[in-house]
Amino acid sequence: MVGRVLPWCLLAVLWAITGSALLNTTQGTYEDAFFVNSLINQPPPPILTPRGLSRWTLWYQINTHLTPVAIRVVNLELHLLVAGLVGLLASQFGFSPWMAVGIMLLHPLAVETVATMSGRGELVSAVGVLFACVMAMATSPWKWIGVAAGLGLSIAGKESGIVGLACVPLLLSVRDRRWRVVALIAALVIIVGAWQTRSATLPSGPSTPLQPWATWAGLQAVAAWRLIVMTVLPIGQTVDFDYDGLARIWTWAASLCLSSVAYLAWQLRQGNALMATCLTWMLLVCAPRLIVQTPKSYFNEHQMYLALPAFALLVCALMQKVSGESCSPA
Amino acid sequence: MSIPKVLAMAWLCGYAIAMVGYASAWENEWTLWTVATLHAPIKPRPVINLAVAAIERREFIVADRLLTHVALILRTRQNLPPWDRTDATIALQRNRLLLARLTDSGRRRW
Repeated sequence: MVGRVLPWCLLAVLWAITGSALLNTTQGTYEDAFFVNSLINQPPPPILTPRGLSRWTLWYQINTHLTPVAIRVVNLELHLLVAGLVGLLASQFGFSPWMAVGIMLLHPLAVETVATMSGRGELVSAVGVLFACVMAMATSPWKWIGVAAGLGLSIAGKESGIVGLACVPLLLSVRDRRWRVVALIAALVIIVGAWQTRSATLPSGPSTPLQPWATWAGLQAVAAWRLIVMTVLPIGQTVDFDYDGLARIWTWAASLCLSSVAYLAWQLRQGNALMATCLTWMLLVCAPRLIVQTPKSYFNEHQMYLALPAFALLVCALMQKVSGESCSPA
Repeated sequence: MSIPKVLAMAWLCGYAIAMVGYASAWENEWTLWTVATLHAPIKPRPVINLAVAAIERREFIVADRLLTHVALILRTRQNLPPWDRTDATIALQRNRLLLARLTDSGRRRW
């Protein structure tokens, strides 16, 4: 009994401490001023467009009750919902959910997502993707309606929620290998779509010319690898890392490391399908960032948010393999 | 309770400590860009943003020194992307003018 209750009690205490730390703010930070200036005293943005729903929620808060704490309260609630969905997903795979919930809830990479208005899109998108995944793993006859609704919600949150299109068949492929073909097709659609829009976000003007694709992809590979390492060991977090100051050899090293992760996922596909799925999910979150150029801004911590659920499931699978127990008795 | 479960809970405690520590950096612009500058001392953007935060706190001497540091970066660092150099130069000029107006110390030659 103690073994079942203690992890949850610990999570509750840790969540109370971290939640209060996240709510300790005196002003908007990072890009918050940009959102306030673009949404205050403006008509409501359309909801049924990419990022529409997340922009609408920010518009509503900015025009009714704008305080830095209020923004973070809503973000924290969404973060809690995401953690709950991750726990639900973990339980669908037979794991006891406390570890998955704990990793999602307490991971330091989520700080930037929760603390800023920029993170609202990632949070809404994650809710959509995870809802779609939970519905896909369910046995209800209405599950495909839920999957479609979840994917729609993920794109209404942020364009990067499109990776949910591949995450759902990836998770289904753990139980039925025939879904691997669908996952591969979905991943190719995402990659091709990203390539078609690789320069679509660039504003016109001489100050932000298009970088050579190899240069951009190399620097983003360094950023992606740094963030993947930080999912395991969150040391050295900062809002603005100096990727341009690194020697070019690091781009080659990071590309090699990312390729190694992909190779590891390929090798695990027969022996441990869930681990392979989680690694592929994390790489899929990173992949569009290597293609689509976002001017003046490399891969940020909040853009890695959608990879954290995969990492949480990966840890549960790893714990089960190492210890032979499913995080704790379900 | 098994040892792996105890280790897992200890790992979550470590995550929580790291989360609280990093969350303290996001309290306001000053704390955020102080941490960013410490991690990237020769990147113009965090230093300029820290200077702006210093101006907002009316710490004009600190802001002046930070802007001087930015000027030094622009003069000595070779591998800045062109957009970064352009944006940093514009921001440096604007904030120098603002600081001069606020401190009423006249224009500086640099």
